[in-house]
Amino acid sequence: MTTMYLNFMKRSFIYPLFFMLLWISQQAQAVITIEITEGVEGAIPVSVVEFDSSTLPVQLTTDMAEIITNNLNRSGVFKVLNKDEYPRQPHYSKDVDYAKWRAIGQEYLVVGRVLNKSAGLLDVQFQLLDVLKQKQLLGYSFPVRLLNIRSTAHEISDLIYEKITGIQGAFNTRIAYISARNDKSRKYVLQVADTDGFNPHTVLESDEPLMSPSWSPDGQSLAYVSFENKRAEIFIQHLATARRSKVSGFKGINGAPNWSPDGKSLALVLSKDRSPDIYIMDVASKKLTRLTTHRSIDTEPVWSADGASIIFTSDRSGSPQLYEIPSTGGQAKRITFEGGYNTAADLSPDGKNTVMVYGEGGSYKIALLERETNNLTLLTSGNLDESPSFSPNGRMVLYASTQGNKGVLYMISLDGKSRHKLSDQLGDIREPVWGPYKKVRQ
Amino acid sequence: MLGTLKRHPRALLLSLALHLFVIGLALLEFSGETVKPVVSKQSLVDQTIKAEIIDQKQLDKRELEIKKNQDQNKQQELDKKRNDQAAKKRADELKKKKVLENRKKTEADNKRKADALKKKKAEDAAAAKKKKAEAIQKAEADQKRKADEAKVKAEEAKVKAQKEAEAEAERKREEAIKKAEDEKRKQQEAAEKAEREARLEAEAEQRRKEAELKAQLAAEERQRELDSKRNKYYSLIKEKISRNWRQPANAGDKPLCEVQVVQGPGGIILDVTFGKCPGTREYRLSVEAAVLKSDPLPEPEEKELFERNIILKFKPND
Amino acid sequence: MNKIAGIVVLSFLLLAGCAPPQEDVAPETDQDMAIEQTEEMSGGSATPIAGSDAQATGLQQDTLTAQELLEQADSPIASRVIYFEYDSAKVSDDSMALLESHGDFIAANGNVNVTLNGHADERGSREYNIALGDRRALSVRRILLFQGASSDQLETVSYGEEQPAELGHDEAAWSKNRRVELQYVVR
Repeated sequence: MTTMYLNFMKRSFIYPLFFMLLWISQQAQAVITIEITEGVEGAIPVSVVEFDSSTLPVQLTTDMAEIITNNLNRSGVFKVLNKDEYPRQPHYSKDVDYAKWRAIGQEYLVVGRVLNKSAGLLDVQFQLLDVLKQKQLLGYSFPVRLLNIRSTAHEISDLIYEKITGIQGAFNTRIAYISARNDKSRKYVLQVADTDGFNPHTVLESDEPLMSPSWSPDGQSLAYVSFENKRAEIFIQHLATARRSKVSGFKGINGAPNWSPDGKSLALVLSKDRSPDIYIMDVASKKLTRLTTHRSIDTEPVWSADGASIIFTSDRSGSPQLYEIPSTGGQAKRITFEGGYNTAADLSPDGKNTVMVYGEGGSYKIALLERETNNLTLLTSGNLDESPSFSPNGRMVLYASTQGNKGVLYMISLDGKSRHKLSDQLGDIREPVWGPYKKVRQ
Repeated sequence: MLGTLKRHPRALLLSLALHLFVIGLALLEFSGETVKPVVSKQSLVDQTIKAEIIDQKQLDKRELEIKKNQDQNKQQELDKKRNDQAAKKRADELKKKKVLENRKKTEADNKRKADALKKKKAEDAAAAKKKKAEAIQKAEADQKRKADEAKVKAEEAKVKAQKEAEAEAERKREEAIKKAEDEKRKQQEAAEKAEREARLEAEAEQRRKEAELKAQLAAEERQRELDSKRNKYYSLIKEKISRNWRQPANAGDKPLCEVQVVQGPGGIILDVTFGKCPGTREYRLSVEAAVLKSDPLPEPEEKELFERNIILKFKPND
Repeated sequence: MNKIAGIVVLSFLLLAGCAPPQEDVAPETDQDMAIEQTEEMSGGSATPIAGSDAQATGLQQDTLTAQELLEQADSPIASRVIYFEYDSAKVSDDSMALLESHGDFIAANGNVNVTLNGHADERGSREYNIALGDRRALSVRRILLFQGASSDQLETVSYGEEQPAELGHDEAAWSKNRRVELQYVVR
């Protein structure tokens, strides 16, 4: 009795608190809230089943599922399951056993088929299925010619990407780059290809260096530098008609053309007035406006997406760094402070990010500069990486690296985690530039 | 207390046994008033009580008796002694007479003739004298004896009377005592009964209190258990969803995202509704997928802990 | 080796000299460009003073033509490449002596035109390297002008890293690629 009483006395200090907590927990019971703060960062697990083409009278040499798989993998957003691990090979949503796909951790599933529509016309159908909700997210039918089957696969990739990320896909766009043949012919080739490096088309071939391609915002034309006249000159070439014109052939440097977002102007570099400076040329009238006058090197101008400013490289501080200047002229402002070498900027369409060549200790990598925070992160780990170029949706960066004695192209995600070499590259490839969206979607 | 009891279950049994025993005794005593053997037992108790009390009286009485006996013995002894003395005297006298006679015989020759007469005269005189002395003695003894006897008789009568009076008084006193004792016992019994009842009451009260405390402790224990199980339940849900949350790999904002989940029996997810959830579609879908992949949600150990509505707040730690 | 190289370069240059470089690839030259180019031409035509200078200083060698001098393997101007340090357009003392010889020769021969081809190693960005090569070429140009060469005789072109003398991704290759090449044309 006594001990019990003592015990009670001892506990009595704790009891009020205890009951209070009890009360609170009971009160909170009405709506329970659980906080989820942990989670593994990772790509979205998706499976892309081979498209059925068994009903076609001809054998399809293009593996659409493979194109889509490579695209999605390259984005870094998705991780496409190795097809050896697929439990089934359904081609229609009705044949899908969702539980099986869920059991192997899949969140989305792509099924499709290529059917014969009419003479020379195929019907490419695909469905994007939500494994967890067991329903179709997307379903499309494309009447296409055999010729366009690759771009259809890219288009499907874009639709999938957009449906899940909410961001417009950029697979069905094009890239331009310069390829140099290292053999005795010493040919320089300006090429345009699909974003996976396939389907290359030659725009121009020259015995003299070709440099600095820049896409017109409508994707119809390229501006570039050609040494065909033993000196650097800027040309504009319409891709469909192959019509070309020299727009700048001043004494000294004519370089680094960059098309304004409205397509009306070119920013470029001229050294006709002594040191290389940034000029803006009205494409229609060829009228020049000088933007910088510094004695040092000013080069590599790029327009901001809104056209309001231009970022360029200058060594006015003693080492090459990036500067920003209003496109209407004014005071140049330095924007890079880390590292002794920051050049060749490209700006993301949303204006939030800048990529550049970052040199330190004799090696050159691609770095990402977050404009708002001024955070600089290295995206790549090569020694001679250069020419970074944003995808039109700003989610990927295309750049050139060196492998042995030749340049190769890579795509890397903004977090640097997903990096893929573009396949089937012949020659010494450099200066890739990612083209705009093919068309503005509704 | 409970703990103590728990730790010593035998103590509980013992206490129970004791209680039962006490209750048993009480029952026995209550019924004892009408059962004969108990009465006899009680008289037994009385006797012992009486014996104690009487001891002193008896002691007095016995003293008297002893004294009387002693007196009688003394008288007898005296008588005997007297008789013995008389006999001895007679024997001695006989002996003496013989000796004297012998002497007389021897001397007789000498004296007989001279003394025969004288002697005879002397002897006769002595004998007569002795006879007279003896007679006196005897008369005295008789007188004394008679007096003694009368005295004894008176004494005895007196004792007897006294004894009777005493016995009467005793009886009366015994009766009074008995009555008092009965009274006392009754009072005692009443007191005992009251005490017992009070004790039982106290014990019952204590048991009630113990039971109450026990119940309270049990309730607390239960609450703790429930809380623990509830926490476990929540953390199981949290763990499962966290395990299934694949956050978008690409850089970008990952703001706080609220999702309301409605679950049915067996943890089957019935509905997922987004509350405030800014962020990219990819991010939202990752949150939704985390919930859907966790279908069915873990079940609680006890049904009452089941929560139909759960609000999930997703927010990466970084 | 140097001689053979010299001949190859010369023959190439002679061939190139036959036709104006602008006409190698048919460009769609618009009016502005034509004007700009004719301005350059007019600048180039203002050279009589330089020519007389050349005559004055080239007395000792008037037995040989400029062409013949250029073809001499052991002449002080047989070497026609100036090398540079990393990210630098500063001409070294050794190269200065060579450039003095060239400057003297150019000054003495008014019928000689020189294109200064600036180059950079492959490191860093390409357009910045164009600017670096340009700066090197201009640096050489200044010295030649100082030595008496006429600006009409000199033209600068930067190829940046586009035409490496040596392939390879090490300092051995890079040091050979950071250079200015002097390309002579005898009119």
